[in-house]
Amino acid sequence: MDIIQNLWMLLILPLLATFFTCIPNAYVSLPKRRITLFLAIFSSGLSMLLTLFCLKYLQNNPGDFFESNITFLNAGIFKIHLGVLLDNVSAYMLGVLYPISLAVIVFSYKYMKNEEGFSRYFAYLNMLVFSMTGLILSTNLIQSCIFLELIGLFSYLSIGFYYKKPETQRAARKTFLIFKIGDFAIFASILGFTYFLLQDIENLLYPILSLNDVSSWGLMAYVQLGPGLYAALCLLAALAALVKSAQVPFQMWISDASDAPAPLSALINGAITITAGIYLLIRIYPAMILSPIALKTIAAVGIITAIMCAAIALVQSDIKKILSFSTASQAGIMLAALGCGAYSGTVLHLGMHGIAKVMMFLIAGIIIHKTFTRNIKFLGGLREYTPILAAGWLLGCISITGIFFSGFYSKEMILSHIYGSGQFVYLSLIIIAILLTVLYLFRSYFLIFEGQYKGSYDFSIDEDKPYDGINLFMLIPSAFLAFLCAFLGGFVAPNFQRYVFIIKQKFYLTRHPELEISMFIICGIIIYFMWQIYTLKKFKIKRIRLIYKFIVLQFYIVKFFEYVYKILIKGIAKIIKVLDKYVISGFYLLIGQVARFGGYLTLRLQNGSINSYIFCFFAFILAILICTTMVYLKGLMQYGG
Amino acid sequence: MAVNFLSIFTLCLLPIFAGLIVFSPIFRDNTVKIRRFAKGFCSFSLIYTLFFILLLNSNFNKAAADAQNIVQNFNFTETLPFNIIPNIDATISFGLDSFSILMCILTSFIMLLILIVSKSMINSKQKMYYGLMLLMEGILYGLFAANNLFTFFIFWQLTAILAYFLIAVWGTNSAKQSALKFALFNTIGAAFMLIASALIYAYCADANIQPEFNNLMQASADFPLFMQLVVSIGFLAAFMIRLPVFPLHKANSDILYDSITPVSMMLSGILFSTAAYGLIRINLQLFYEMFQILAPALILLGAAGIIWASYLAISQNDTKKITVYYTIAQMNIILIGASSFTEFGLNGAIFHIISTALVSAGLFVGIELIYMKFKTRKLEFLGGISKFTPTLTILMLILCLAAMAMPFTMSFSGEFLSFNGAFNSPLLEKNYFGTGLIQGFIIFAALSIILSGAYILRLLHKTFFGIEYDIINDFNKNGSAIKNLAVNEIKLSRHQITVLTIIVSALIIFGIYPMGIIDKISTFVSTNISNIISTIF
Repeated sequence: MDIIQNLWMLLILPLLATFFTCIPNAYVSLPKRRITLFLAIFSSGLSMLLTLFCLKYLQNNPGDFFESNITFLNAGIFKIHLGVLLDNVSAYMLGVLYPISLAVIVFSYKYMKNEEGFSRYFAYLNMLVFSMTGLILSTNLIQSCIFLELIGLFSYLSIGFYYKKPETQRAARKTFLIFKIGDFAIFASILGFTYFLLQDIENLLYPILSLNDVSSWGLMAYVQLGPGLYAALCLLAALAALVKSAQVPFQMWISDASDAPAPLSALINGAITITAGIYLLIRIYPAMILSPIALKTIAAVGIITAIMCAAIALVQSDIKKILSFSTASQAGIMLAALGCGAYSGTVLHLGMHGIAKVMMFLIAGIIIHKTFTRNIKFLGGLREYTPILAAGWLLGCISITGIFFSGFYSKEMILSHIYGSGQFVYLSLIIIAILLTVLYLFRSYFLIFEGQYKGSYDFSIDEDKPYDGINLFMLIPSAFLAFLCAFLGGFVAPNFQRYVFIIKQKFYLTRHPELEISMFIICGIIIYFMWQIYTLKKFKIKRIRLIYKFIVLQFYIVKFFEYVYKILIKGIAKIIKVLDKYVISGFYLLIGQVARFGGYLTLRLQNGSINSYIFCFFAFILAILICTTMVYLKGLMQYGG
Repeated sequence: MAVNFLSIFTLCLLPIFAGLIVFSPIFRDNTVKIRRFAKGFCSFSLIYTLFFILLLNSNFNKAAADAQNIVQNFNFTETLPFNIIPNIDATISFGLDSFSILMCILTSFIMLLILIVSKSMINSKQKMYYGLMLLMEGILYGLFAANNLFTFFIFWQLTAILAYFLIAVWGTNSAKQSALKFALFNTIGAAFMLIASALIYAYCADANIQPEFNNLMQASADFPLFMQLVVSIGFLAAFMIRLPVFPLHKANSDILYDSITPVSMMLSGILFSTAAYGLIRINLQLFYEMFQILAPALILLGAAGIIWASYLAISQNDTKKITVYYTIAQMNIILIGASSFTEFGLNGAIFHIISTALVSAGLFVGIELIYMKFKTRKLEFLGGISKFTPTLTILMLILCLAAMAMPFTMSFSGEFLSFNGAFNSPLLEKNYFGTGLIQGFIIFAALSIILSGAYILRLLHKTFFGIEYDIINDFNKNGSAIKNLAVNEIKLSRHQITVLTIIVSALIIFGIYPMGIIDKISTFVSTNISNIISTIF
């Protein structure tokens, strides 16, 4: 099919849009903002169209793939290739990415219109989409590493978007430092994986560490390295993914990400940075299978994060932070599912969760834009004024918790797989995480949209305006995503098992209605009680101060990291500074002192006393004599006289 | 062939000649004229060197060389027709291959940037400064184009002497002392080098070999082993002192800090790279059998040096010192790439020489621009500058990202290939440190990815972002007029913007398209080094 040959366009289009956006205003006499918007829409829209064609093509030819490479670096036998690889998984991810990016772009126009740095904002947005596209279409692990670093870079820039605020900058710097740990990890794992590949030059296939047949080089590596070292390398690669998808103990950057403008943090949370980590793991999953230890570790980290971040989200009062920690928690569930082997469920949930989460972020953006507050304590009762937003938020909550709509299908796929494969410990832990999800999401719904409004914004001025005074530029993208969130799951899920079929794994296709029904009933009961608590105020909840403080401080992980930073970076730096100042400089001084001492000795020898001269003379003669004797004796011993 | 107008002798002699013209009483104290003359001359030699790389292989008859079974790698070879020291073939001889011509282009490029940026930074003794800089350029050409050890040694010593004057005359108060230290230590290295060269010349005179690099490459395998060991250690001592390798970095860090910014650019960009050049040209290419034994130790020292310098950079509170230690860490990355005995490691090392020269030159300029406005380099007195100068912020942001080896900047390719080469080095399978230990050390050195993130981000954020009250409060106490400066917009002059823009665009262009340079490097590597690697392993 010819249209697949144009896949490079996906990478070129956002770059072109960025290039125009970066031209300083002084050189352009056109209405630059509109053209910027138009170019961004054009690039994302055309990409979406192309992706739709690709999806159609793959539906007709299941299991087919398209790969094309260019050589980025050619240095002897070691080559780095950049390319595009379209198969089922990457096409699905592109199909999720572009609707989201399109919605965010349209939304951003009105959101950022009166703010400083409009062009910069769109440059970051386009580059985020570009780097995610590059990661999704990676043909090899090195390309993934490159684009993962780029995603980290542009997330950092987006978080530090309001560059005049010192707190924002501190958050951005911290985030980038955490990302650097991941960059180091994937770099180290690439070093390890290439090591044995380059030993066997005759069988070296390009691109090195191809993502198209991970299992073959994974197997080769496994044979050569042995299970222990192989698991270590796999875990190093997974560490990069864990850092990017904000797993414990790296979850603290996700709360900093809410310093970005709302649409950008929507992208970072829903579609790009968090997703990138999990996507990387999904791609190298065939290599991970060989090492059960690595998979189990990932599952454990995932489930711990799912529960911890859900608990943290439960005590936040900032809308964006609730959503951010919710993302981390959901990413944890996905990783736990991946570790348990629910591959296709994870892939589906990645997209479905992303759409719902971005939609909720956009709604949060509208609320922030309107009421000028992010704190849910100053909100409440918004359902009366803006029923559209309330409906959208509820839709998102229901979908993410997996009670109904798109999220239902993915969550059911994950749960039934784990149930079917008999991993009941993980099953119960994931169910706990899901129930916590219900708690924090519906808490946010009840606190924002039900009860009494506690803020200071006068909603009566919007009464005569249509759509509750919400600009159409903001409403339409959210509605578009809400539509996808409601119906896409039902459209995709039925033939998804066949569609993402790239690994021969045992699928547990049987559904378990008893699981679904019991989950449904439990969630219903919880929501009913929450309604009683938050709206009707029939019950009162009491805080246990100690536990509350413990959770608000993020289980002291942040403090622990500050401590580690102080010791491992600052402490050692201080020690080395002292060593450098005294030991290394002392070495230089020593050379000077030795020279001076030599001078002193020779000076003392010439003291004018005849006795010392005679002593020197005889010492010299004695030395020569001893040497000669020794040489003579050695000859004597060798040749036996 | 019609390339007779290209002559290395002319290339070296023209800047020296121009420098002498500057020294002569033709220019009385007309600073503008001197500067424009120097800049014009430097641009001319940049164009001239570019012609060399375009026509590098045009006068080179490969078929004839193959027919005679000669490894004829050098082009444009020229030898002056007289012996300086009778009896031992001590002639001045030049020759270029793609590595040395790349270094010559780097020299002229950095020199041009230095002369452009010098306008606002050199306020005294301009005549002497521009004259010395032009002399330095010519001598560096000579060093990179040297075709025998005698020429190499002479130009090596001349660079040290000129660098001494450039550091000592325009520098901070302690510049004279550190310049003296540098010159002394360099002389110690050069003494070792002299012994080594003398040994080779004596041997060659005895065995009737013309001591040019081409001949030595074939003859050196037949040298007595002990002599090879002495000679390669002698050369290595000189190179390690100048590069600088881990325990010997103090003198180099001092001169980088104490000299004035254009000179710091020259030192970090070119002068330290001469050591890397010599390491590859002499130790690796001529005495590879000994270098094979010494290389694992060098990789270990390099790994230690990377971590040491990175931690030193973290502990500093001075913008210039952070840049200084950044440069030293990068030099150690070059060292581990160069001693890796793999094609891609060597490619990466040579590429990283160029990228480091550009990045650290750019960082030095950016920091000096801030210093000129705020009169301080201490991080605690800086902050929040981004409001006053968005242009400088963007340029420095890209430079800092390049310093952190972000993908699609030049340093990414260099660092990636160097580390990969060192890690995959065939030497590390069996060596006296045991298998696996050095690999672990290199992974440990790769932690510099995190450490460089720490110190570069600290440099960037504490100067450009964050709270700006510090400046105002501090200078209010001292009653300085800096506060007014801080409130106004900082305007960069045309020269400064040009230099930074050129550096940044070069970093990005060759970051996206590294093959533009690596193609040239790999011709050198595949003709010279590949056969060495295949003979050893």
